[in-house]
Amino acid sequence: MKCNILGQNVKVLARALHALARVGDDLFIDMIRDRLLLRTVNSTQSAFAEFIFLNRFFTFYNLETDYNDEPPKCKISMKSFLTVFKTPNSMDRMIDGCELSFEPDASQLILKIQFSNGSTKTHFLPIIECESLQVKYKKNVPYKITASAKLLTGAVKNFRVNEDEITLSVSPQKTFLKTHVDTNTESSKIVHTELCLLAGEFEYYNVGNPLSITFCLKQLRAVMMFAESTSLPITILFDTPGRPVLFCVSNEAIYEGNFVVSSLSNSDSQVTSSQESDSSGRISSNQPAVINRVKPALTNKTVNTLESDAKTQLVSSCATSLSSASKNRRQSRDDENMDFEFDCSNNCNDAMDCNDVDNQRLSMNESNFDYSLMNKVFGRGFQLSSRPFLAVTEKVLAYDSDGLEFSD
Amino acid sequence: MNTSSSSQRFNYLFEAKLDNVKNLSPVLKAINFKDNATIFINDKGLKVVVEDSKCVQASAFVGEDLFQEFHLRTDQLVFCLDLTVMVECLSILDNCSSAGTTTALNMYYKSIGSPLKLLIEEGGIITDCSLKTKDAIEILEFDFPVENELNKIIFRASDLKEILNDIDTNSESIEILISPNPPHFRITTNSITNQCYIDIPKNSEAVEIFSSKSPISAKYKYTQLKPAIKLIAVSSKTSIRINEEGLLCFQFMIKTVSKLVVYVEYLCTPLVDDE
Repeated sequence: MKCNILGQNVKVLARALHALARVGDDLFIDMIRDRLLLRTVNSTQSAFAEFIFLNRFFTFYNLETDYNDEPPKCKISMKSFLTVFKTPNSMDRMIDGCELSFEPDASQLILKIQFSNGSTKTHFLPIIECESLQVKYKKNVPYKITASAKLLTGAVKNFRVNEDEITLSVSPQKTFLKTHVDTNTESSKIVHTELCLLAGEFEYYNVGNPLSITFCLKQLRAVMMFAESTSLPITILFDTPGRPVLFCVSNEAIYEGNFVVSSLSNSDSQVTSSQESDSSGRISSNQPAVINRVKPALTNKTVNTLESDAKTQLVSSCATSLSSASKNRRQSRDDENMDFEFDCSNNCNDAMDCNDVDNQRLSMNESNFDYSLMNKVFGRGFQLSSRPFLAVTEKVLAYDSDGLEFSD
Repeated sequence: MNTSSSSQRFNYLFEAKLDNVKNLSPVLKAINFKDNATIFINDKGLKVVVEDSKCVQASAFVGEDLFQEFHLRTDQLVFCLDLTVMVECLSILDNCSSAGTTTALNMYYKSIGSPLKLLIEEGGIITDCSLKTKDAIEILEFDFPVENELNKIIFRASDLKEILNDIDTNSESIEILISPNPPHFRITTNSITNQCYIDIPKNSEAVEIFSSKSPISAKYKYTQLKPAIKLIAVSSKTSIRINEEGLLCFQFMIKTVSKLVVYVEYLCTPLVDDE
């Protein structure tokens, strides 16, 4: 496999990588016929991002494989890719082009950067695994709004940097962006930010019934960073709460970026309790069991509605209960957050864990919906569900049950 | 006025005046990778030497022509001082100056053992600094004869800076190869996540002079080369030489704000392979 990229486009690629790096730690590279796919998923698998570069993006693009052969794919560490493209800003000034190549069974990906003054830089990036990541999501959803990156950046800039989630409330006339307030947080103690954007400010606005959806800001910031540098508009596609939100940046027929982010399943203030009663009906309150049920379903690549729903909900409920638990530790010990406590059970230092969470939470300055933290607390549960993935070569994540198609 | 200054003058062993402190401070800042510096003064100018762990030595040569006044009333002066403090003093008025004004500097050294006095003046505001000096300690003497050099490359520093800008900082060592055959000049970095070759052929625009008699390659610690990479950034031309033992010698030509030239030499010993 070999492809060449021209100077200007190297910058685009570098920026795409920086946006992907804000989502996940591993980079999955796939070459399928006429396109190069770069994908990543975050550690809790609640957010996924991909960039698709069509062969037009390259000056030379050759897979060097027959159509019957397995298309080349690999997984490498995001960190190693970032060391190649550390400074996207100054890249196009000095760089003539970049050549990406790897052999089907190679252990390294070779990236050769050609400078305009005649010097070259050759990077050998170790390939971790030869697996690929697949996420199925659908783009035809009832709500679709498109805004310029400038408008969105201007709006999001008003939120504090450590804001984790925001709520997007849409109605046919206007859109509100506001701080998401947890159930257990005393709403008087936090800063509320609310912004109103009129429908006319958007480039495209297709909104039916009023709807509120809450999602994590971190991925949106990643998309905005990319969109701003390429001055492309961002399209936000979404459905009912609990279904994933999709951010799209597309430069027609050359490249596009899709960021899929799970949303909280119910954004009103009753979120935790309503969810519990909701889920307890179907899945009972025994959450680890739910995770176990996700496991066989995913390995067999047959995901039914109930289970995939359960997974998204689980992620969502984790998010709520974690932040509430950490902020309001004492309460969380005896009231409705039992699901959170349950996941840490068999762990004698329950209180210690919470303490840790609290401290870490306090020390966080950046706006990150701290999945690593979540992973730490829920580590066991998620590990259980992710273990079977390692054995199979293709990952199918249950983001949206409706969007799943099973191809053999 | 004249009489008072001339009567004062003879009390000092060394005295110098500089119109614009920005001619001096960036150079000293660039070699300030360790606190302790040894200063040599003779009638040709000033030499500031900074060393690290007996492996690295950086010397800045500031000619007396950089100063508007330069008086030395002895053959040679040698003393040590804390360079970090000196750099801080020199840049004390850096950020409060309005555009167009320059900061002037007067330096006095009365007698052996006395402090180095700095008078920094800008727009009528005078800052008086007194830096304690210490007796000079022995410095390393690297032998780098010019006559039988194996190789020498002179780079346009701006190009080299761009190329080395995003060098892999996780790499513990950096290998430098100079060879009469392609790839001519190669820097190799190696870390867990990334292995990288940087090749600069001799016909590259970045190279001004290239001479190499036989291939030589040696490994250096990244942390010890880091100050040199910083120096590349402030210089306009950079020369690289490696001798038979692998001793690396960088020379930097730094253009000051008044278009005068200051030279910095940077020597670094190679890593010895265990094998």
